[in-house]
Amino acid sequence: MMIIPDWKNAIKVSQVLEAKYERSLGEAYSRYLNGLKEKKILGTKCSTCKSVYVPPRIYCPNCFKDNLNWIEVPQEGTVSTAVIVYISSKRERLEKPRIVGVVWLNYVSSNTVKPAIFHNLLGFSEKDVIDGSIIGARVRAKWREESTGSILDIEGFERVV
Amino acid sequence: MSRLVTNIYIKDKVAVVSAGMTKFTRRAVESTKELAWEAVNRALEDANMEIRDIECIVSGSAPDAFDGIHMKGESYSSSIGGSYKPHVRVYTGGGTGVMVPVAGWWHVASGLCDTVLLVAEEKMSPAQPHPQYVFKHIWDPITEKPLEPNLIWIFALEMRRYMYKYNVKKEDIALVSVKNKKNALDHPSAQVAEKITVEDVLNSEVLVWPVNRLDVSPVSDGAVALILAREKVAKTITDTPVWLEGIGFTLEDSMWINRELAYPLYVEAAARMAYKMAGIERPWKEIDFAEPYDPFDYKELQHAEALMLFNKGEAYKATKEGITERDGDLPLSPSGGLLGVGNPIAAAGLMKVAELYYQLSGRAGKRQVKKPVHTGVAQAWGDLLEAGTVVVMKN
Amino acid sequence: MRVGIIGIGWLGPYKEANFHFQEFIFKTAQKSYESSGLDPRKDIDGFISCQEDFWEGVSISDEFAPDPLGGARRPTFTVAGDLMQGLAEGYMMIRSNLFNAVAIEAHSLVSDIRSLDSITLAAFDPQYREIFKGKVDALAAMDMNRFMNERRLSRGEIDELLVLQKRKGIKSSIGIHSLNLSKRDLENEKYSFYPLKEIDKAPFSDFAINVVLAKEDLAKKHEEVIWIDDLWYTSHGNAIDTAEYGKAFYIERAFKKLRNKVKDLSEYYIEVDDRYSYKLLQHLEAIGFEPRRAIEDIINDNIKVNECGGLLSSGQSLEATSGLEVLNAFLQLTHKAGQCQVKGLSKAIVVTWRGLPSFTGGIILLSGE
Repeated sequence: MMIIPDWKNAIKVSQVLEAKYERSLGEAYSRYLNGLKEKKILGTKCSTCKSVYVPPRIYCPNCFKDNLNWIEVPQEGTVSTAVIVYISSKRERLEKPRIVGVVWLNYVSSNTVKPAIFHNLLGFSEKDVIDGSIIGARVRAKWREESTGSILDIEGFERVV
Repeated sequence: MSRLVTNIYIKDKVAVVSAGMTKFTRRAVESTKELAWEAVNRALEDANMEIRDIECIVSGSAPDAFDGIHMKGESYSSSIGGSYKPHVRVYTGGGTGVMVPVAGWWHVASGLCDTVLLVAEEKMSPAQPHPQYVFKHIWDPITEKPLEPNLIWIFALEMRRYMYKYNVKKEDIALVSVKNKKNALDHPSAQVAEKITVEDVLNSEVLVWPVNRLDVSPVSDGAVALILAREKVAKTITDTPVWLEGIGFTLEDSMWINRELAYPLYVEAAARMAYKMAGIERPWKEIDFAEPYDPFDYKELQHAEALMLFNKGEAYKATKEGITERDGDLPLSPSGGLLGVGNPIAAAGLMKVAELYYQLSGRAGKRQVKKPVHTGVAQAWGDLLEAGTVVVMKN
Repeated sequence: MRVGIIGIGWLGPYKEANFHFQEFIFKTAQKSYESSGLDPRKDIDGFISCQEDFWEGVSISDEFAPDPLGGARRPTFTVAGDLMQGLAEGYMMIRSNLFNAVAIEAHSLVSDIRSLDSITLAAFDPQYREIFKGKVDALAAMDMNRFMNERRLSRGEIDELLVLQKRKGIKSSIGIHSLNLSKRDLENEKYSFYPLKEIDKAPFSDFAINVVLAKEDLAKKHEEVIWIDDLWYTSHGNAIDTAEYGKAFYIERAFKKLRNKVKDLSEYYIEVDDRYSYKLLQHLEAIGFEPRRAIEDIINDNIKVNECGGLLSSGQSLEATSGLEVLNAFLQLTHKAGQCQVKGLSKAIVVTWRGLPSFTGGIILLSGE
């Protein structure tokens, strides 16, 4: 039923859509990023259900209250999951594979919500990821010299020996 | 006919009376509107109805960024008969395909519409340099985007956690990809159906360990349409109406890193909602077959467990023993799933619901499962490990 | 089985809100749930967010919907449409008997969008983008031209209406774009595309709204309920090549369906979408008023339409715009409209539209006790 049988011979038009935004950071992220600038990891704790949020929230999704207090959390934690990245976001092969993962920080939160950071994992080998020994490993935040107030002020979480 | 289900009183049942879909391909020559039209046309022909017989329309399509069209629903509205009628577009990321019949259900059950057209379409291919690149913008701009993540990362992280928690190996998981791609050989719309082995999966390109290329469903273009009708009307359209007996949907909060990833509680919550409505108390006994969402092979296992069809971490054993094959006791993805038929994001979920319809009306042809079936469940999933949408259908 | 609005919370409209969108949604939801007396974690069993990816700047905007709404791990979903469409879904959900209470939210942080024109253009079919680039409002001007021509309306008559409506907003608590103009001032105002003047278009505002719907027996327990008597909407998508210009055909069709429910329009407070001044008349025409008569009636205060200045005074807010319209009607029916309160009307008809380049719009019939 198709008049043009294949994609190569179809007429194609290229259009670029411009979509620019400048968004307000809001209180939670502003303070979090300021904390990172000072090499601190900040979070918020709900006074009602005691859940601890890193990244921080000014309202608790669990009990829908906004009586949260700001706290500083330890910069150490354990790896909950990790993977080896071989391709870029544009689907190209990376020169050097990256290891990234989720770190659950050492702060007790009385809920199924754990304070956590998603970041690069340093000091591990590909074998550690594949055989699973990386999961549960102790790690600590490694900071860059320069602070700009971004999540990249942390270079990654490195293995604690 | 009325039924009392726990504390709700439903006056009229809602049925699926027909289905239609396009082929799923990597790059369709047809435009978004043409794909959607084709699926709708097939569904109308299947029901022997005309577009004027449709009163309301519920559609689904995932990120507008794929087509580069803002307010995408308005764009394809006219090609799906949306003129002069109420047309709403629902959107829960990958969960959209099953959210469409969920919303369609209350369009009929509310008394407002006698017939509802359900359409899910996706044209991912227009996005340049690669559709995957659109997923750059689903991340939290402050805490995640700066790390330049790729969508596959999030699945890989979840897969790794699942494997760790339940001690499931890659070779066990790969069996799902083998099964579904084989099942898809009998699906007329299939994009990537083929006979492969576990070795093929394990030897395919490693993208983000533990994910290999053959563990993943492809980028696709495609559209699916179904027609719903109120009981009295349904019986005048077809001899084999399939009843939409249960709907469920949940959205978890956006902070996926703060949760235990091995088990999707939100899918279980959605399943419970649907089962309760359908009067199902022991799904592992009462569900005859299922279409769990399988964008990655491990997902079928994880979702089958969250649908309470198997114990946590044990679905792989059933796959190994052949229980989830078409001739098994509890077939999973007899359609061939996303892994075999393709993954045009929103259309994929509705394709699974269409499979429930085909199986339960005895029209699945070569894909018809061996055992007689009366109750089926389809499920889709989406966003940042957040959305669970479930429908239960019975004949 | 009736469906009632038992709570509305809103923030704004602001010329520029300084909120992070999740905080914006949360604070609005808090106010709404408080006014409805319900705990979202226990009593509300459905949550709907009305958003479009490109307005939000996130693909997939649905991801960030549940937490600030109180819907985390509860039935929550997104409607890629405006508040009116979300309300329609909520209305159906409750009438189906499966849900007791549903919350619907919509918000707009237009001030965060730096490329508004480019994004609005992206809602046009790709084949028309080159033509309308930098000229999106020309579409409204075309429609206005035909409308004015066929109904024999003069620019002077539109000016009169504009002066009146902009002034009404001064008395409104949400009239942040109200102005005390004279007809003289308007004669000097620039045309953007003849016959449309820049001042004919409602400016953009940041705004967030959350509406709680409840089923009849739950709503009856609440001291203040505004009932949704009926609603219907129609669409023609963005098909600008096959649309019927010069009339609000999408509203005509919706009104046809609801005709039997509306016995006598004089019993109703009327709130219509007037994001372009001529639309006020066009939408009134679609529900049975003759435009030139309507202008007279508005000037002589014989009909009560957009008494607090409508969108021309409060501004328009993307997907939350129909929320402003519903809010105005709600405030009237609950006697909270302050200085622009209309007395003696217990029913309202709200006419909504999704804005350019869409032809989707609908009607909501409300009544108070």
